[in-house]
Amino acid sequence: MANSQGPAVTFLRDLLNGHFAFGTAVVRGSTTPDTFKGALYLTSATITPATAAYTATGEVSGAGYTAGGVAFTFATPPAVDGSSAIVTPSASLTFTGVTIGPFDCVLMYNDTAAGDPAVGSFTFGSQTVLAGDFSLTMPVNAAGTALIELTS
Amino acid sequence: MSTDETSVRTKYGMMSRAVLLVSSGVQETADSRVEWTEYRAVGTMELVRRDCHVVLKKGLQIGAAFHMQPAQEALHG
Repeated sequence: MANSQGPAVTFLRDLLNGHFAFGTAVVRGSTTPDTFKGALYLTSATITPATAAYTATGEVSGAGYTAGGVAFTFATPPAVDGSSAIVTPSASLTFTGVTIGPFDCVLMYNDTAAGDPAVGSFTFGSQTVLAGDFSLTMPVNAAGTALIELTS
Repeated sequence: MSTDETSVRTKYGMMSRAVLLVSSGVQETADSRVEWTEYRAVGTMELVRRDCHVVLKKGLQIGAAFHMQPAQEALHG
């Protein structure tokens, strides 16, 4: 077997675990995982990959919805699947008894870190919820579908 | 939001299922599947409740391949 060049897949996994800091690191209060939240945005908002942090601008508002959204549940830590490092929330993101919309985007952000830095945004068809429930079911936690995947 | 076999919570509070028309639909793309259910009052057809359920099919994929230098690319063809 010849030598080959590439990132260690465990390195990719541990990037997701916050084990590497090539720049100035942050002081962490504990070794517990951060809390990540999902906030919903109106179709008129401008959430993009360039969005660096949670913002209340363009966020939905209405009965039953709390600004900042709700927390994701991670029962399974980042893992290696083939040549990818993956992590996916273990439960749906659920908003119960809300009147909101029209919205078409959820922004995932770190609610523990200072400044609420963004992880990424996910879009779907424009929706309105009236006195009802909204849920966002996560994709399969595997290479090719995981919610967050670092691939080499 | 709570419902039971005979009633549904709506913008007007709990309403009997007997006075509601229920419809549903699906919108599917490569990235997501959106399912919704609408409840309308019989007679007026006023929308009194709408639920939505989104299934994400895939997430954010971040490529992390190390870039080879031109000389290495030449060596490796």
